[in-house]
Amino acid sequence: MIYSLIPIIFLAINPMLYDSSTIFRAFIITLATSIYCLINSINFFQYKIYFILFSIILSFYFISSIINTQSYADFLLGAHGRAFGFLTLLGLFLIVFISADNIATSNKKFINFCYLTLILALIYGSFQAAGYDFFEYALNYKGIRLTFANPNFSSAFLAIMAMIPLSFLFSGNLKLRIFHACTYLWTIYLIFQTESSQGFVLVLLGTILYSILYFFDRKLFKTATIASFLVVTVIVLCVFIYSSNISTRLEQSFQILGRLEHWRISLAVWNDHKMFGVGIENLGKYSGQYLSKDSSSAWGGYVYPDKAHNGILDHFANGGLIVGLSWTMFIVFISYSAIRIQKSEKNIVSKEQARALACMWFIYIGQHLISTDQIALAVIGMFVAGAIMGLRFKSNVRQND
Amino acid sequence: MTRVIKFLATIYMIGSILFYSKIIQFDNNVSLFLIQGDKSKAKLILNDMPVYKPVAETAVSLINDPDFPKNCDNLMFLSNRLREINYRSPYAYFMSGACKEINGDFQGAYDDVKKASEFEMYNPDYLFSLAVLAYKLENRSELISLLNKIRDVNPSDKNLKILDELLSVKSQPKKQ
Repeated sequence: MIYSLIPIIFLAINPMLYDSSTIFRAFIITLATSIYCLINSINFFQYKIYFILFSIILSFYFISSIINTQSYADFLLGAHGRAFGFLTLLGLFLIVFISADNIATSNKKFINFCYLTLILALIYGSFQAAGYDFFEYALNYKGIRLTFANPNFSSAFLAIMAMIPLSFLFSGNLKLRIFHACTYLWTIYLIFQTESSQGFVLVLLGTILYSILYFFDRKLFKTATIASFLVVTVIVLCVFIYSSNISTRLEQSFQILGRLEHWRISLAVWNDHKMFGVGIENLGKYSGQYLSKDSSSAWGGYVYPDKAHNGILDHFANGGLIVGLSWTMFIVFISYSAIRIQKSEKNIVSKEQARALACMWFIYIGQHLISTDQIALAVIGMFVAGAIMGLRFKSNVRQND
Repeated sequence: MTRVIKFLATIYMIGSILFYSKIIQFDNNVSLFLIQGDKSKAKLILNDMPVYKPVAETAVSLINDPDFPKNCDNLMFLSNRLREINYRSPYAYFMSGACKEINGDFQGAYDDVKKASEFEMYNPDYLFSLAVLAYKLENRSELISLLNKIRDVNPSDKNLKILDELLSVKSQPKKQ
């Protein structure tokens, strides 16, 4: 039942609050994970390396908060509007272990709850696309936002969840396949309605990755990889050849220069605070000192980034060298495990589910590396990470038996 | 080991409930003040949870409110509260600088606003305030330097005309 947290987190917004989108979600994460730990036991030491990495991250953030004299509320809650503070981070790490423990017995529930969340998102998103909404959002963005208050997060969420119906396209009877195909296409349609380019790119890359993984242990694997590479190259060439003012269009669609500036700022902040960073979610209090004149002019003089638009750089700047390296190692280990579970013959889940998990993870990481993280996306990412971790562990145990 | 984990989980659960119930109540007050304009919530917000961003937005909103008395007592209260939560708060230094200017301590005001400007290097409000203080301190070269900086960042800044006029007043020969 822990996987029911996924649709709950998707729906958990509170319009009565100034920060309608993250505080309530952070509360639910901490409450749900703490209650789970009270009722059930988790064998953390089964997943030694991850337990060590997470312990290092949390310890160094605690030390960093003391060195940087961070207020206790900012330390526990995180930046207002982001809520990735210490309490949330602890909850997200617990989600990884909880998911790992439950994937063997509840993999169908995980998929079903993800599918349910997607259906809810599609229904609500369709209302928003038609101009109806239950809430009044500030008119900062054009595209639909679902419950994320920002179309970029919505598009990334839809891209991640699109892998679930995609995975069902290759099994089951014809009627079911048609249903899943329609769900997948409906998801693609809503990604366009977010008017956010990153969702489109992420779902395209996820679909190509799924195709490559489909042929992973087949004779046509090399052919599929080369074909995918050629498709992507042709698309990129067409865009460059047939689009006028390509650099302007790319900049408008992906804000490349802006993202590079965010990365430069976070690296500059980390460079001056190498060992312990500036404190968890504290980048916003330092970025104004490192802003370039050109960026300040472009952003109006009053905008100071509170996120690096790259999850790894965020951890380096906020937590320092050890935290950044630990987080990077976590991502690398899970990514490696995501590939390894494709090859395992002793998997508890079907091949389709294993592919879906890998694609969901890589799409989440893709978003994590080029954009700010969002608490609801992080919940899905950590559930997926835990599922991959659990599957890898279980398949290793089976091999040793 | 299981007992230790359950004990820690209990602390985590109780701590989360206590913390987030306060945060949710605090954020509701912030919403009532900043979105719905309920001014009675301002004092509650300033004296409640030390969450920097909404407290800073509340302080700035009060400063921008024409009905809010911008005397030294109020400015220093806001400044001290912001500095308690974030020792790097540029707003805190800006407000203490404003208080010093009211008291006629232009050099002290200049030093405080300069500190604010170090934390937000291209904030046009701080640059403009520094320029005005440089004029009051009769520091022409600094005034010109700041004017050029503002022009560099935003050539259509609304305060450039005011600064140009100040500079032309300064450059007029004194009547004997």
